[in-house]
Amino acid sequence: MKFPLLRLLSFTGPYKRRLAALALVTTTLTALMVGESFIIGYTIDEGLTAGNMNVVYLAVGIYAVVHLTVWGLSYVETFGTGWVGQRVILDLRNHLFAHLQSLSLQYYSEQKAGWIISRLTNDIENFNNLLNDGVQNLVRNGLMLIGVVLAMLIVDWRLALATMAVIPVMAVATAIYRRKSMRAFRRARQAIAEIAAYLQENVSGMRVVQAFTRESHAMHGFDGRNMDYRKANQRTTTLSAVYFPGVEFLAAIGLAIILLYGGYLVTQGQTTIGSMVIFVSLINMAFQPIQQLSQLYSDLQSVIASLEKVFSVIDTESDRADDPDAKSLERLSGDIEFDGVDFGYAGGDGILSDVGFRIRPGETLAIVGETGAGKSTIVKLLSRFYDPTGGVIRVDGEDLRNVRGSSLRRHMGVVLQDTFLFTGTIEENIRYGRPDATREDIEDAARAVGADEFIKRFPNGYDTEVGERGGGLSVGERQLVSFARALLAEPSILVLDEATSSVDLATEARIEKALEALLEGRTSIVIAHRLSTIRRADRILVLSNGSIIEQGSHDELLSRPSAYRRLHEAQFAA
Amino acid sequence: MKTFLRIMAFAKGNRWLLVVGLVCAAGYTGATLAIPEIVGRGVDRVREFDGGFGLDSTLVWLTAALLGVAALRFLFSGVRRYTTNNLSHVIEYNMRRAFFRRELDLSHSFYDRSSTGELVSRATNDLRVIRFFTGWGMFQMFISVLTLVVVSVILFVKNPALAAIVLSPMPILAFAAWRFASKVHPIFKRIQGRLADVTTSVQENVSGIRVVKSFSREPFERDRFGGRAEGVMNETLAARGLRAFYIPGMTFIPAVSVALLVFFGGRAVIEGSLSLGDFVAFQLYLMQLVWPMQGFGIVVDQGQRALAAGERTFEVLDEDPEVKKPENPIPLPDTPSLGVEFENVSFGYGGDEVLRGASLSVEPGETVAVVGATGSGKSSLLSLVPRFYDPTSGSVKLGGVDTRDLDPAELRRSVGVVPQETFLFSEKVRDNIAFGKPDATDEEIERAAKISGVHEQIMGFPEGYDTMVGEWGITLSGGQKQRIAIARALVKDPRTLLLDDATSSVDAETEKQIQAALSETLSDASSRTTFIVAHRLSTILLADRIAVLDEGRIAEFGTHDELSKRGGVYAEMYGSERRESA
Repeated sequence: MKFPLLRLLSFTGPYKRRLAALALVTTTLTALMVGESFIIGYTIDEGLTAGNMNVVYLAVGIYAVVHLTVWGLSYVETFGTGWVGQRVILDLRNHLFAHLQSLSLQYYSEQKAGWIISRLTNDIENFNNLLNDGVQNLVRNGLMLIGVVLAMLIVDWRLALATMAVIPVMAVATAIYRRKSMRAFRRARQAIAEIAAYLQENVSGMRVVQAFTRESHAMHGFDGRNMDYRKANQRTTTLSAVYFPGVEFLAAIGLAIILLYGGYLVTQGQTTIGSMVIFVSLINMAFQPIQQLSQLYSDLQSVIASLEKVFSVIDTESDRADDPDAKSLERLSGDIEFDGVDFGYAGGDGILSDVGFRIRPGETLAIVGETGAGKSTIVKLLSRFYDPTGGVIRVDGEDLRNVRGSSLRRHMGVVLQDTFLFTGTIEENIRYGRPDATREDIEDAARAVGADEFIKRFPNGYDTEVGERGGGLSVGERQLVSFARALLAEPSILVLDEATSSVDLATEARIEKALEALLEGRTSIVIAHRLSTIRRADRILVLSNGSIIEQGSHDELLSRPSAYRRLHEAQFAA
Repeated sequence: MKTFLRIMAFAKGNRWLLVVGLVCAAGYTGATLAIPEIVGRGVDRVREFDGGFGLDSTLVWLTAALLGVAALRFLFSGVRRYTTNNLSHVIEYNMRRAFFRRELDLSHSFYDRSSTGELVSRATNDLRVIRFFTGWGMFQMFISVLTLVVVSVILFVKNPALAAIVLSPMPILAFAAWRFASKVHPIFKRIQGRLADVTTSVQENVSGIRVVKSFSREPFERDRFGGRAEGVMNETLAARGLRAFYIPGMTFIPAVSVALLVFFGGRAVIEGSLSLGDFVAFQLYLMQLVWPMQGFGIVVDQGQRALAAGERTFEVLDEDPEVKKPENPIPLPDTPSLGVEFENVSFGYGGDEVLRGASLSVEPGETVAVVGATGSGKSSLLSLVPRFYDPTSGSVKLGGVDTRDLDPAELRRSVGVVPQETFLFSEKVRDNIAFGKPDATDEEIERAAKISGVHEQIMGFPEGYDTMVGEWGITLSGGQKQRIAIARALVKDPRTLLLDDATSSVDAETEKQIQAALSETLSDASSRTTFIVAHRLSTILLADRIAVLDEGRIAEFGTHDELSKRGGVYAEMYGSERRESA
């Protein structure tokens, strides 16, 4: 349970000395605040009762100095803990982000996107809130409690012990409260996570909800989750409505003991009025921290839960960490060989079995086959997003497993059917694969794929902002932008996975013409349903249920009764 | 203040909680302040009482009174917490409900420009901040102010001269609170903005991870993310600096009062013009101000955060749903199929217009293919039919009625949409197909799946129609998703069907099967008006007539043979494919 908090300590390593200094500041602060009550007691006994004005002057002086120091130190403490805390958060965020990047695509396909996003946003924010209000109080209140007890014992041990008689009662009450509230808070956390997941899905799919007039259904589902959360929170409310006033009541009992027993001691001449007044101040100081600590406890619970989730992501193995002595590919001529490749996801059925083919540098290979035949899987294996479960993939004669994945991908341009554009301008999106490209390079690439024309039609041209949902770009237009993005990177191997499925035929024809020149000297793999796209390929591979059933050129395959010919006829039978 | 009142308006029907909360908070403040009074009396009594054994009865009575007041305070405090926390839950619940309600009503143009992560964050994080303030902060503020007022009154009654001296620093407190609030508010708004940047960055890197990895751009994304996270840090630290100065500063002011008391009050005690008991009571009262004043500082901080969060929530609540239900909606004609008319329709997404005066009249039961270059406005044209958007000028009529005069719910129930980009819910395959008709029977669902050519594949899934779809279920290929989406639209048996490039991810053979099944339903019912956006000629040929979009207008409209012969845009586009495949 405390484990995530201990792990967090490793993130504070770089700031050890600052933290040590802050601990010193906090200790001093606490000592000053506890000591402050002595000043008043001292003034009453030595100054007022004795009628000594000099003591009063001295007391006022000390009091003013103490409080100015408290103000100054509080500033240092508050800002200092913030400074360290924010840097720990920044480091944790960056670490988590970098780790997420290293995780396999498998991880991303298995986890809900909303779940992953929540780790870097909600969970870290939750931690941030605790840091903002909590950690400083946690330390200070803990110290304060110790300081008050010590001070009480020093002033009058009999009165101190009598006052502390309420402590066992409080300990029991606190233990009960914690156990019950922990359960209640856990339920509340689950309920809010449900709300977030529900919103994530329904906001993403809002167009579908509206198109199918399922608003009332969505509202109903939301109401239920919203009410669950409200109920879970209400449970925590009921508990704290008893516990916190209870602590205050116990403090009053402590006060009653001071009045009665302390009063008795004073009349017996065994203690002074000043001591009694000090005790009254101290008891207020003792109960404030206990309340705040209990309040923090629930926050802490929720932060621990958040941190557990954060660390569970950090502990997910980067799936195929590159071999330490993996080669970095500096140049690539584009010789690709699949040798008896098998593949299947862990625990699932086989997707590819015994796939073998060779593409020589500069050749174009087309892959066709029904949906789910394994076409895209070949691309994922070639990009080394996954390793084959059997057989070998070689690029330029090198086993892919010995190659650094990122160095391989630098030489590959992949255009996918599901185009993804980043928030930013069209220009920035095209430049993505080659950060040093000039504006001319970008316009050339856009022209080559026929995107230039529509981009220029926007009022802001290449500076038009696009975003999560494409911001005014149609699906076909987005495909063209991502096509330009891949071309600009000047890859040695170009992979087009249904890259032009939403583009009209005229534009597609134009792209093909441009490609002829661009593909010179580049190895390329084209996956397409529209057969017009693949006629020019040097070789066509027909895939069915994860195996190659035929390969050959367009003319060869058409000349005999083949699966390809069937597909071809299906499409062009008019 | 306006934001605050708007937040409080969400307590509707539960105002009594607010009243009870305030009354109890006042009672609590009274009881809390009565305690030092009793203790002060006790100290005086102890001082006067000298000699004698045993317990003084006055002291015992005072102790009993102390416990009685404490018990009263326990009750006030408990009821206060219970009611105010419930009040905050009611407000949070109602606000979140209104938020989602509004989201359901907002049109597509709103979703075109907002990010999912940001909207989720507003409905969770921002509302939580508001709950904290309405459940605690607001009442703490009331208690703090009331404590200050009551303490001032008591001190003035006890000893006006000393009270005036001792309370003289208090106006600074009000000034400090005001300065703090006005300085910290804009920072909180900025922090929320920076946080949204971080969320966007994360969201894009999760959704677009494959693009990032394909271009080996991890370091770039890391830097960009790091920069944004640092932006959050810098703003947070700016707020932290203000907090570090002002909150201890606000605690310092009661301390100044105590110093003034020791100096002036102490002299008065020595001179004999003030009783020691009064001095102790003064001191205890001033001590009572320390926590409320510190609390006041924290509440100012929290309150500003809540107001910033409230403003962000109201930004969404104030969004105007462009598509509104008309006051007197005209019912759709009760014919088996409806004609669709576009009259001089113009439309754009804020920038240049995509449609510029498009006119098209489609007969009931007709199937029309919409073709045109990329970006020519095919999807935009279709999205006007179910009123996902309203045209900027011109009108769209369904069954002769302007779509703006129809009840949007009735309109959309009569239209089946298969969007270009498929979105399925993380539910069972069955529930996804029955999405538009929750009461569909198994036969209806299977029939729709058979027409869209996905039935056999579904039967091959581990749990058939009960297999979960999506991130926690089976991973579907693009083609499978599209076909489930087609089944989803068919199962509602809509009078108008919109297929927006619905078979782009489907292989030729499957497409042919879908086409065969579709054309069967198209011809046999002949009751359905259908729009098909497509690129492949074989799909286009399913249509009775073809509308060619060019430069935002309908350039040509007619049968394949008519258009092929005309030698216009269409002939240019599809002549070549025809020749090559012939």
